[in-house]
Amino acid sequence: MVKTKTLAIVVAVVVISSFAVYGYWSTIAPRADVRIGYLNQDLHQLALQVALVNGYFEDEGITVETVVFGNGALEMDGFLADQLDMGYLGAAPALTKRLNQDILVTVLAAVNLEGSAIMVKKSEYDSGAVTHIANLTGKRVHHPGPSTVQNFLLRLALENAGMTYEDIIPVYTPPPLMESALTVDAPAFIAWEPFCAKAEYNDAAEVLMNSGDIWPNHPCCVVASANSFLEAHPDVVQKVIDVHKRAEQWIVDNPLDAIAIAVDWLDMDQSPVENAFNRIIFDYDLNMTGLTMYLEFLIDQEIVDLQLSEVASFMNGFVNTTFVES
Amino acid sequence: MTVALKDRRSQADSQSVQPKRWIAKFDPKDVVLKILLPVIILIIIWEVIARLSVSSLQGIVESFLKLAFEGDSQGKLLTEHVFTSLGHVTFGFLIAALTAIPLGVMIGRYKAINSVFGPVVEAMRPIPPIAWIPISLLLFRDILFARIFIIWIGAFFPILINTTAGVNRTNPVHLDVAETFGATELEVLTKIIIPSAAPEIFVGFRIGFGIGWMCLIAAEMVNVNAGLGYLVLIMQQSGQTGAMIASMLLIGLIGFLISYFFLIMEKRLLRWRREVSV
Repeated sequence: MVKTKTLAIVVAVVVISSFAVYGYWSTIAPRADVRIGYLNQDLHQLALQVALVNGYFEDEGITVETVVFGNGALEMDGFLADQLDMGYLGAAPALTKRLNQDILVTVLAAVNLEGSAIMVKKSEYDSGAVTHIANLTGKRVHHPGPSTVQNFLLRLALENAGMTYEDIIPVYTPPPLMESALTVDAPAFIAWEPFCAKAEYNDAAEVLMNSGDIWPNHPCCVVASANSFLEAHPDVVQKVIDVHKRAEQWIVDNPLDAIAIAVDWLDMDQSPVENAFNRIIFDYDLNMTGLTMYLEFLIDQEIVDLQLSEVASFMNGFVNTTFVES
Repeated sequence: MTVALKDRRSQADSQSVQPKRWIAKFDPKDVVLKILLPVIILIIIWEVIARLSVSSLQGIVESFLKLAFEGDSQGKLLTEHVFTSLGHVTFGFLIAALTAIPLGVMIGRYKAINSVFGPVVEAMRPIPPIAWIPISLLLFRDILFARIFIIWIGAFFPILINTTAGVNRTNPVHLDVAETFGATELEVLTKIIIPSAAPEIFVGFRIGFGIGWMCLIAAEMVNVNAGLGYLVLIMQQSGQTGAMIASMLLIGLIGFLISYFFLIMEKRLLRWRREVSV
């Protein structure tokens, strides 16, 4: 009995001491100048990887800590929990969570335009069962969520073909699982690269429509900053945006080298990475018209609580292009 | 008959004639301890969670009412999501019960089967259901079966392990008596072992259904457009925290009610067990 008590006390002391040591160590360990979030396996955000590999942040004299997230919604939660200062994420989660959860971030630059596709199960495509979007009537179509740009693209594609969203059976599936989830009853998905190119490379799916064919130059990923960080460190924010612009330009000027970095980062074969890369427009200038159109869609779907008359003033406060223009 | 026995009998008779006094059983202390205090603690906990998530209990209630009467952004009402989830979990649970009980009885009863399957069970059990999602999509081309499989994985092992434990706990004296009286193996299994293991099996049901219910999020992650797990995921994605927490609370409430239902069933169906033990 005495032995057990002693053992329990020792264990408690060790556990509490460990927490204390960790807490102390966390406060004295030097913090990076900026903590930048990005999405796991999202080729759209190649610019950040290019900047890290080419040493652009060191050139600007800033230290960076990268924080990886599974999706944009989680990254916005990361902003809320003060886990990051700036981030590469989808415009969709940035907008929806800014409005619904009042997570105070400001969009500063675009990361990419286009770069998604509607894919169809290869066997269905080859047999001629699904070769046009109209063939998806009554079929299940995987999408990454009702508040995503991809869902909006799907609706646009259906509308352009004279169909409605109700003509298909939309089902939610995380993009990494979409390829495995293709069946005869659920023969199509819409996702961002590189999941489309991966499915194509694995002979699982064929491209039905590229997103650029549905909505040319549509917005996708953006660079955002927490408002508190923007106010406290505008100089660091400016340097990060300068790095971002430099990386984007380098990608455009050196596509083969950029693909090599992507292959290494994504740990994929060259061919699918190249295919995915060629479907993405790397550009740091924001498509404001596109962002506004998407916000109006969110309002129409009652996903966000905002009046149409408030859109312009909201966008003025949500987007700040002075850093990318300077 | 002795006087003492006569007195005891008349006492018992008079007691059995008296109607039950529910009011006499009502204890205010019980109401405070078992209902009021837990509800207050739950409200406080969820208010703190809501505030940390930039919401409030009022926001959660409003979101709940909106989901119940207007539906989500796709127009699906809360009832549809609830019944979809209940369907998935019930189906998965039933299959788990039908597969785990026979296997548990065999593992508990026969040493050779225990030697072979025991280590297999122990190796497979720690793998979390969410890890099985990509495999389930490859194993089952039909997404419904893939979903049911995830629930089955969650519910199967608690039922199996509790059944095995219940079988192992069978009183050896009862088995010896059965053998002495020439009972067949089937009679031993059906009339002694399974009834003896029934309390543990019921515990397995409660735990198994609970874990199966907890696997909703994992099960409703793929190829889905209805269900409480799906609702939590898409509400989290779009930052509608009130609706997300309302869905989580509903998952908790339904889980609690089902667990309570199993408890009531256990007490009623196994009343003989308590009397025997007394």
